[in-house]
Amino acid sequence: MINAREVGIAPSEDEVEVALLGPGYGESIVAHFGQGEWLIVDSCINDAREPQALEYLRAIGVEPDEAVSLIVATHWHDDHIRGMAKVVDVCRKADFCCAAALRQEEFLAAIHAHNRRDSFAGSSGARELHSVFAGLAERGRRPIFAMADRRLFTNGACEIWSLSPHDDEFARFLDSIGTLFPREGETKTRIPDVSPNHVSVVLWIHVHDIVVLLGADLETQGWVRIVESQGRPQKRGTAFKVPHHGAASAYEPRVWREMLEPNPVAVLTPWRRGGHALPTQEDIRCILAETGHAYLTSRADRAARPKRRDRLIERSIREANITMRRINPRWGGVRLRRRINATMEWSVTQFGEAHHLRELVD
Amino acid sequence: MALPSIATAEDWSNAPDIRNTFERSAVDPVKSVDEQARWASTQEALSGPATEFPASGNRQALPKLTELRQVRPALAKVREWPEVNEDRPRTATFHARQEWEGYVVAINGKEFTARLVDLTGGGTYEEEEAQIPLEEVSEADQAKMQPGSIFRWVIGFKRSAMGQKERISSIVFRDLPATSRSDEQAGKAWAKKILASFEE
Repeated sequence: MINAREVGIAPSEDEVEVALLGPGYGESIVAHFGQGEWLIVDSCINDAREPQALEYLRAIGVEPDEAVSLIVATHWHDDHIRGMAKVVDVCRKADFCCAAALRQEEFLAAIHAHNRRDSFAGSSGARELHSVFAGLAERGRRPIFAMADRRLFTNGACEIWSLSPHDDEFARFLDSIGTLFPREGETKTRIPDVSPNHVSVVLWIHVHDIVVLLGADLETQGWVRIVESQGRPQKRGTAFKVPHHGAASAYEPRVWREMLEPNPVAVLTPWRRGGHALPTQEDIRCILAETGHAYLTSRADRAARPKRRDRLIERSIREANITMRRINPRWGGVRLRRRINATMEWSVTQFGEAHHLRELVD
Repeated sequence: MALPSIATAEDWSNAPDIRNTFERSAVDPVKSVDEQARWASTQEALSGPATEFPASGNRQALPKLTELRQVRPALAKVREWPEVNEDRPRTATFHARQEWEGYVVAINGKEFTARLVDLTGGGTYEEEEAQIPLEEVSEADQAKMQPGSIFRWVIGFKRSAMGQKERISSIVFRDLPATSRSDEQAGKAWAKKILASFEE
């Protein structure tokens, strides 16, 4: 849970803020682009199963239902979309944006058919997205659809662009739908995450003299298209949300050379599933070779306090040689603030389990 | 006698065998079933398939199997049913102490990784990840499991019919039916409705 005393108060109206929240599994970005207007990108939940973006905004004294103008779901992997339906429901004044590929009739039909008699007790990206679309339709709200080189939002002082996904990725995405959803006669499973992820929405945010690049989970092939695009805005960023938890599969050196200023502030969240954890030591070294200002919201490798259980249950788990760990170990976040039209650099604040990447090199 | 789907009072009055069965079961269903099985086995060994269980008033006349074996050697093959102890609970019970629902993330050699929702704690999101040895899963389920497969894991206590208490951990994979044709049609209709609302 977020410590309200630790996060302090809201930024001033002429201050840009990018707060990356990442409790160990999942990420959400909260950004202030001046004049009290806010953006939420993706969603993850806290221990009380509430969206962490809403918790953060309330903790710094901002009412999300009034202040949030735009919500973006970069893709539907469950580490980026948990709690999104609640975020959209609470932020009634905000427009909702997702990849145009998700508007495909085949995809919508598949998620509804799958959810219709879905008795699985847990969450899934497909179910969360279904709830988002159903809620929007009920309220008569039309989403904004993101694609390469499209301006999503402007208010004079600020512009927000989507740099992906490219048109070519639509067909590939549609092909994958057939393999994702079990057909008649097969056993129903939980819908797996699509990998590699080519329909992730990369955002370019420009407020006066400040540019921020939010890399979502886009992998290398998508980045090559973005770097080579002539239709994208060309101004370079000074802050970068590193894509796909720093994975080598999302590292494209030309992004650092051609889309970012030298030595930008880089922020990322960890990821862990089974025996695989990101970023690896090699990923960390790779990012540190590009910038001296790189921060991770929390450490997925650090053991969290286990859930308290009945002694007899614990004994049964132990005797069966089953090992368990909590998915969201601890709260962590990194916040960047910078005043508009000032010569100052980004001021960086780390919360909870956040670390400078240099501290994590073995 | 076969009854029509909606039976009238007259139909019921012409069905004495069925009524008799209900009466016996209502008195003592466990004993009644045991006795019927024993009676059927005995009848079959003595003179061919049994046709009718004697009315409750004649039950005292049921001969003991050991006595019958002396006159009919064929009865040696007939199983002797255990005597029912009236003081003990007659059915096994299971009390769940902790229940999870999970899905398979990956199968790695002799174990699999799963994400778990704590049903006992009222969970709605996966909050824990477990490494579970494959030997905890039946061979039939092992053959079917794949990433995304959904299962229930229960830890609890089983009390046998004889009163013994045993700690049980059971993982059972759910054979949920996948999307049917009607689901697909409903999906298409929903997609059209959503897209229409986005166009307005």
